[in-house]
Amino acid sequence: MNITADEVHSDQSKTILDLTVLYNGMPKKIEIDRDATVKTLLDRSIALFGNLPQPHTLSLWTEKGVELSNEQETLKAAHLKEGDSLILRPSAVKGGES
Amino acid sequence: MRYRVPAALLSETFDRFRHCGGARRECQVLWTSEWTHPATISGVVHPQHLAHAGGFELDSAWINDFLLELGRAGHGIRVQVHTHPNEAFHSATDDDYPIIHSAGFLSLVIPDFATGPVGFDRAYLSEITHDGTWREVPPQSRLEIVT
Repeated sequence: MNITADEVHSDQSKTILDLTVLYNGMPKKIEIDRDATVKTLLDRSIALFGNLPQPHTLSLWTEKGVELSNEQETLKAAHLKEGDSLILRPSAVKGGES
Repeated sequence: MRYRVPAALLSETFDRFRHCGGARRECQVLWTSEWTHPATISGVVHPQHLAHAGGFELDSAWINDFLLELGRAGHGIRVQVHTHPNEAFHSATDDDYPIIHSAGFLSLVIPDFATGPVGFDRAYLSEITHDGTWREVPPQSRLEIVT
């Protein structure tokens, strides 16, 4: 399928982004303003999956494995695009006796 | 929820621990199941990780790829299982760094680097509560070994 320049322009100028957030293998859709912050998206994602306990340990990651670590950054500044998928996960997973 | 754990997957779990850990290092596996049939454990996944005698840490890039794969497959992680060198208990590190943070998520610790008999003898099972703390639960109350 060919995408025209108009369609690309329209997509980039859209105010509301349709994103997918994946948590433990379960995808959920979120509509959010492109000017919202990463923090807002993170909070909404955590609420969407049932107000997960210990929310401060979770963050959003791109499919390419980049953590959206600047929570005050807007989604536009974070280069998120329509249709992007994000993963809600802890930054570190570890364990052990000591 | 009480999960049905096929005996073959429990045996595979111990085999992984013994092969990877060599009775010298801790190791972890993840038990998964389909979202359409969550109560039946159907997969044992051995993460890429660093490990030493007293702990382990999963590779961050592996976590990302694996969570994407779970989404494609329609599966979820139900139980994280790992070894300790001696006694099984839930350490502060175990409490603070699980892979899943949902209430009801289970963490099973196997003693003696899993060199003992296959099963839940002296194993320690913890569950995340709604306030994010962990509480010990009897393994038989949440895990049923099925043949």
